[in-house]
Amino acid sequence: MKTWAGAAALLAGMLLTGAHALAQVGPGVTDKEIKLGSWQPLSGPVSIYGVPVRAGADAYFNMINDQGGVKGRKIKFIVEDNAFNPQRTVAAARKLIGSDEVLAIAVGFGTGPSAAAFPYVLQQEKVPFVTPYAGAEDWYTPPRPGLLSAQVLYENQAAAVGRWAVKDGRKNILVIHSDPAAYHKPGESAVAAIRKADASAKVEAISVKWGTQDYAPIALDALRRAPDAIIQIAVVQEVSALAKELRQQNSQIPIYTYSPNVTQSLPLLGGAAVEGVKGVSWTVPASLDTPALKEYRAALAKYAPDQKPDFDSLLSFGFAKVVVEALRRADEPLNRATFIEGFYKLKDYDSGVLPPVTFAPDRPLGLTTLQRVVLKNGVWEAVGEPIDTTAEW
Amino acid sequence: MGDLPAVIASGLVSGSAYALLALGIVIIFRSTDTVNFAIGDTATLAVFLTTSAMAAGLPPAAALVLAVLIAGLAGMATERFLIRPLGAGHKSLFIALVVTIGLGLIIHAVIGVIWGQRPIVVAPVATGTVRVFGVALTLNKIIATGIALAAMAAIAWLFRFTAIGVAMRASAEDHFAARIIGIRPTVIASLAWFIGCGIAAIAAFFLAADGSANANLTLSPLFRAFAGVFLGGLTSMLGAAVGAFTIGVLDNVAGRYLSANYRDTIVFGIIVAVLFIRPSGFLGAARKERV
Repeated sequence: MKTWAGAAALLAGMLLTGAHALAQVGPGVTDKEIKLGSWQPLSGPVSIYGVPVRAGADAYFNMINDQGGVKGRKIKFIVEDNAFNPQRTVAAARKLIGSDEVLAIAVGFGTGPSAAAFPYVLQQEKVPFVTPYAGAEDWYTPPRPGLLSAQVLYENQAAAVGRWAVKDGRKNILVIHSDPAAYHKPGESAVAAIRKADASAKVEAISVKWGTQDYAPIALDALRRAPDAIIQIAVVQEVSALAKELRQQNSQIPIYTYSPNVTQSLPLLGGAAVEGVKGVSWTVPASLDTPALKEYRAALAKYAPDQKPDFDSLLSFGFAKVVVEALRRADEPLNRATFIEGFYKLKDYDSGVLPPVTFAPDRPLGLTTLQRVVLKNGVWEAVGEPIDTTAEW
Repeated sequence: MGDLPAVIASGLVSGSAYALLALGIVIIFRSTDTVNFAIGDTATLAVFLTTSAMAAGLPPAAALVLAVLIAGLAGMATERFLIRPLGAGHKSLFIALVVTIGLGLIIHAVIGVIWGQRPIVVAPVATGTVRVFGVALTLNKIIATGIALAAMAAIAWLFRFTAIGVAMRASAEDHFAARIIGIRPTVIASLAWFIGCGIAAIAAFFLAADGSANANLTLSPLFRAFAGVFLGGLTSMLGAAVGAFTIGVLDNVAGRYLSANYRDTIVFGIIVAVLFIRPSGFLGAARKERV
């Protein structure tokens, strides 16, 4: 009730403060163009994610532009390199909003870096920040005006993975997570979910410095604890490094991980060591032969030919698709307020890439469903039906 | 603590990459008074160039030799065209430092532009594992350790017992006096940069074979190599290598028994304590300034 009242008050505030704005075309919008801004880690260690994420969104927007755009307007997608750095993200936000005058920030990458830009983007400039490749529980409790996501929270993903391990009969689970809050909090969620699913299960957690390359001592520590499953919340290089060290010691402890690592980079880096790794995915596998996936692969081949089809670019392709659909449903004149209203018109919108999304003022998270996957012969395969991470599946 | 010997063994093999990088840093510093911050990126670039040759069928062992040659020649070119024109003197030392930092950033960017940000898998020189004190170590790492130890011995022999090594030491002590007795400092400098960057390429190659070739391949190891250099002594090659191996062991011990989260903090806390007691490192010589 309190959430409803808060959300209604926020929407009313937005509508009131934006009453004047509703009547005119917003920043970043002309008869022929819509400017959207974004930040991605295009350099540094996290660029392994940022480069394909940019490529996927670019491919979709370019495809739409070649088809005539959205209501005759071409989308100009301006991407700044934030190098996964909060200060650079704030600078990127100032440039995109202050200089480029974008309508909104879309598909921005990085939980910590993006949160650093919130005071400027959401509070000061009141610019919508939609479909981020990022997120934390406290971003949406209470909902913040203009912040809308089509991504299942990392905390919910980790909890789902923890529950999956318990359902697999694991009784002694070790959670290994990187130290920044964006990894630590999902790690805590996994621990809590395991305890909730099976009070008798033993669960321990280890925090590892982000960016660790030498996983030998961590693997030796894990072997001493002798868990029957490991849940790792870290970047793909670290999941690969741990798996290699464990398999090198002849350990076959099963490893579970969350969505960002469900990518072909994992088998590329980890080879045989990562065979059998289980994960949860935001999207359907990139190799499916559905019309939406064929469209994705064709667009990627045409607009980002150096990128192979993979989960990261598929996810951002799906995000871009949601953004374009909201733009299509937004009333004229198109501005920041009507753009957000366009999102609220998405009810069970099926992109064919992500599970169906629904937005409302009290529902800033468009979806809560994930697909379980397992790595077999170097390819991620779907396991069972999609699961609702907020339910006791 | 029952697995301490295994953890130490694991730390020593991890430390071999740091030791090779540390040796490269000290060789260049002792010969030309330049701290080469681009050494890791130069070595990484050489590894990336050899991945193309490996894709065309070059065996890993030959690719390793090729990486050493490429990095060595790149090092010589850096010294000849970027460092030497700066001249001698205190001011040029700081300028050289900034130049190498800038060069490293440029190389890093070039790697990203040419090869992209996706890591590239590098085949190891040898596959398989060996058990040491109950812990399985990859043959790749064992060979890297052997090469690091051999390189230390070879460099020690070169500098102590060969004419060119004595000339390099003399040139490091006093360029002017060395020139008077017929030593050509430019040749010595080129040679030092070739050897230093070449040795660093060995480290980079083995690191890539253990993980993958990526633009940040030597970022963390170089950080530890510098720590080893200062722990052992910036003027001592043996000290730098021993310091780097020590870092590898401390890092593994801290990660295994104390905290995987604060292993850097613990290791560098120990280093600060050591340097507080002995600022020149445990094998370095206190440097006297000429006035």
